[in-house]
Amino acid sequence: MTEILANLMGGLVRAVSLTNLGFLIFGGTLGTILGMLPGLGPATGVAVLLPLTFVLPADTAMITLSAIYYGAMFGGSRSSILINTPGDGAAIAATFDGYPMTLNGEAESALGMAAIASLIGGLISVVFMIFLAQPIAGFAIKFGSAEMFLLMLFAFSATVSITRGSPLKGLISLSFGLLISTVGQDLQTGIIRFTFGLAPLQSGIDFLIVIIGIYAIGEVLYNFESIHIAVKKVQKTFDRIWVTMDEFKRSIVPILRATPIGFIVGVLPGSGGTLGSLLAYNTEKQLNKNGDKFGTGMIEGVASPEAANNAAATGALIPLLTLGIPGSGTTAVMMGALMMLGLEPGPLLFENQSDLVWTLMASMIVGNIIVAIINLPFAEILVRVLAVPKKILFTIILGLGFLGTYTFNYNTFDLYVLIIFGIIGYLMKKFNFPITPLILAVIIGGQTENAFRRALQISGGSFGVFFDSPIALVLIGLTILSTLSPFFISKISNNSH
Amino acid sequence: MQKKIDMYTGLVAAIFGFIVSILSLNLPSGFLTGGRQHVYLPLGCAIIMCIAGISLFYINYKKIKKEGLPEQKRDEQKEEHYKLIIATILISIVYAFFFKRLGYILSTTLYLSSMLFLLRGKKKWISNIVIPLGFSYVIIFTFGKFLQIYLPTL
Repeated sequence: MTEILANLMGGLVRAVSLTNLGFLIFGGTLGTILGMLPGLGPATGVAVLLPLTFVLPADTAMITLSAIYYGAMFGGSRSSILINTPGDGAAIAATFDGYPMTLNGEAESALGMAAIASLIGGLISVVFMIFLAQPIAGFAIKFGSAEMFLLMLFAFSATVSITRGSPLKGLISLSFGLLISTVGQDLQTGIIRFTFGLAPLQSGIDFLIVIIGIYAIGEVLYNFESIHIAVKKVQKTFDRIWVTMDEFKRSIVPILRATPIGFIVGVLPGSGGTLGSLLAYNTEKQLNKNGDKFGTGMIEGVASPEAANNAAATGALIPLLTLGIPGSGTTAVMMGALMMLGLEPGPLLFENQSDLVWTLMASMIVGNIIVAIINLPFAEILVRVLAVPKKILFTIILGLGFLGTYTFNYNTFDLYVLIIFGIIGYLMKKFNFPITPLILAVIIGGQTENAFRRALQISGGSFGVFFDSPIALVLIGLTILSTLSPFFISKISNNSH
Repeated sequence: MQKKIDMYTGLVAAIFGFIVSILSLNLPSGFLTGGRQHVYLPLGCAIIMCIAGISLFYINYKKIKKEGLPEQKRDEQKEEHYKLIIATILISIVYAFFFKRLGYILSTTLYLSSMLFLLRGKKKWISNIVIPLGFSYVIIFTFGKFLQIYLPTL
């Protein structure tokens, strides 16, 4: 306990240095704005800002990127409440009661409660993270190559089964991502795989280009399908954005119930804020004495999902930092940033870069408070962003996507690769293929293959190594369970119908 | 319509998986060890993709056969969007080609201006030129001055 507090204090001191604080405010504001804009999410924001990681110190870069992430969780609800259009997926549940509140003339309370619930959910989940992260990392350090391989296999199966819609599509997306990760020269045997004679592909396809292509270019192309739809008029003048004591009293229990739900869902690989907030909303609807009135403008219906999605954003950082497995699309992009910085996310990060990890966790306490401040008194200014013409915004994102890609290797070949992945990203969104499994596979595909081969080398080619330890057996059990879960869930829902 | 799309995407995935399976099997053995470990992952993934693709195709084929397909109307607005997307891709390819040849400022200004003209039309021609020009100069200045990242010049 004393050690945790000492580490946290050290992290706090580094987090509030002038540079880190400046970038924290920058990241939080940018995240709020990106979260607000329908069609653009935190993953896009983090993807286009990846070049920053080249020049900033590692802790500052990670503070900025994570501030964009939870900033977007705060901002996403603004457009949900005001124009009934979620800024990103995680804010969809805020439309259910948030928009009716605006129609009832209670936009100020809805906006105020969304920010307060996000703040409480964010802060509590950071405390969970502080106490859980180090023990998890300490446990994971005992993992050998076989356990690491099985852990990644579990992450893949969990990501595919949690995928909304068809798990078959999730499986195709995952397999495609793993195939992308095999392109280039195999370092163990020297064999060149799937380069089709193109020399620049020998070093493989840079996962950062895949990320920018899919999240920035693909997202923009997909948004072109709705570019001519007129933007709804936004309420721009407000009374004081705050909540009454009665509203706070009604919402505090739902917030405290939703936070652990969001946090646990966030920790699961591939789930993220959307599932967390929807699950929290539905749970609250069942448990709340006014549950039958949900959907008509109940403040509890805003508080619950907003606390959950912020908690999920924090929870998603735990598997990234402790196991080297991202818990969501955005954390997958952040993992790319960490690797770009020459750091290896996973249990060793706590040993080798403990200062960075504690600075990041401490910055999230300060960051959540700063972003709440940005979202309360400055909400009136920020919602004006919703009036920025999409056509200009998307054009600038295209420009930033190309710029970021070029700066990775100073090679124009990468720009063509970017365009190809932009098209792939667009088609995947258009045909409802989940993107997270592909991104996860591209990022950890190489590590998965290495862990698999190393385990086999150690065992002299015997597959028994994957069944040797209790940890391995538990991981196999979890993988089977998560693979079968969609069938159980559909059976249960069919029976209940 | 979604079922028909899913049926075709399943078919594409199955064919893609099949082709990659063949390519994986044809990969040479390791130079020194003669091992085939580098084949396992791509071959495994390609087979999974093939099976998942066939399943997706078959499930949706069965659904279509059972329920039929609703009549499809021509959607002119959708066709406009497709034109816009294709034009964006073509302009982006041209941009990639001229990126180093024309230097960052000129190629980017031309690219972003073309995009803005495409999206906003000719009426707002002044801002269609001024915004990209400002963007290019701000980027080249910021990257060169503060980030020490040097972009190509003419």
